[in-house]
Amino acid sequence: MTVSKPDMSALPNTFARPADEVSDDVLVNRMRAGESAAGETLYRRYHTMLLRYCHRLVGSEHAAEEALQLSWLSVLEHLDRFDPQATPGGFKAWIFRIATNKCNDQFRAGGRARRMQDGLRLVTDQTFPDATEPLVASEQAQQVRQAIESLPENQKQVVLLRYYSGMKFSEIAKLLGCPLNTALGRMHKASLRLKELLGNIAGGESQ
Amino acid sequence: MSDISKSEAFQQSAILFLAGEMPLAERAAFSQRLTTDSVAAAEFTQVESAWIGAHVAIEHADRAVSLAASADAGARWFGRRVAQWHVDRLAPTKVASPGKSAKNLPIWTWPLAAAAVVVLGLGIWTLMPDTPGTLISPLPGAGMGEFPVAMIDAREELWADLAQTVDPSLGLADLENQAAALSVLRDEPAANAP
Repeated sequence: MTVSKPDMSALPNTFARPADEVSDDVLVNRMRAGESAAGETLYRRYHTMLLRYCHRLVGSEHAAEEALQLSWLSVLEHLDRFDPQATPGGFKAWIFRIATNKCNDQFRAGGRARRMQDGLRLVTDQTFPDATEPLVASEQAQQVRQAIESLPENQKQVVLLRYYSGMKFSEIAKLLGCPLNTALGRMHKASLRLKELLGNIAGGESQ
Repeated sequence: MSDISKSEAFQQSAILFLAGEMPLAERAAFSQRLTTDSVAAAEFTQVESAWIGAHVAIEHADRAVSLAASADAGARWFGRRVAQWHVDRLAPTKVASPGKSAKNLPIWTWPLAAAAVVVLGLGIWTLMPDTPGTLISPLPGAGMGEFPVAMIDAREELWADLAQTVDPSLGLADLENQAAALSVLRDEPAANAP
């Protein structure tokens, strides 16, 4: 694959926001004053990216919705103590940190269920798609999902945080409590692994 | 710095460059290096390819799965929670009833209070002056102050008789002899009674 222009900073931008919208800090202050509409706006703003992020981390839509709901409840619980100035990345970094923790809780809680499922797979020697999710259209899409799921947790978190939140690597490093170079190294390793697993898909799409 | 470390440092710089997070001065120097150093340019192409591949992979995976959870329904739910949260915050805090405070005393205060009572009692008892001439009961098993009333009355009567009859100039031995004689005289009729 050859890319002529090295500036790829605007690459994902799937969740880009208009510049003239009300800032998160303003909405947080309004929410503190009891304005429920401000809370609804914040919720809508982060719903899709958080749900996708949680879904990729926990692997099931039902668990992702639960993690998301718990995350927003946690926001309300700690809203009085939240200081946007003291939090690098502001509200977005904060809600993603909460969601990451909730997903980790879900992941740990689901460990036993996963082991049982894996055991069942060994017995039946067959895998079936999750009945709660829409049927995956193509074999390629399933490969992609499995490739992402097969990443080590720390690498997966960096890749997904970068993709879904669009946060800077310095903010991601602070959120995960690791040095910047470690976060960059994890990103590179994860990218290499995904490329290795999905070389043909990435090559075909990026042409 | 080893070759591996150099390579890792370059890859990390390349990621920062691709993410657009490299400071301007460093960015210009990095771009310059890519145009002059063919080895660095080749390595950068690999990093860039992996970077794009990861994003494309996630995008591809997202397109394949449509999540059913509705943003509107979720937002309405959260709006209601915000309203309830605000009401709860404004609600007056409950004042603890005064009777409750005694019940809330720590458990260790109870034995402490019992010990204090015992110490106080001992202190008062040791400070009490000894009563001169305290009588000891001749009855078996009886403690102090448990004399029969009749015996006390008889002894007081005896002392009263002595006081009337005895000469104050007599010595202690004479007094005892007189008392013994008086006691024998008083007890005789009772002893001879059927």
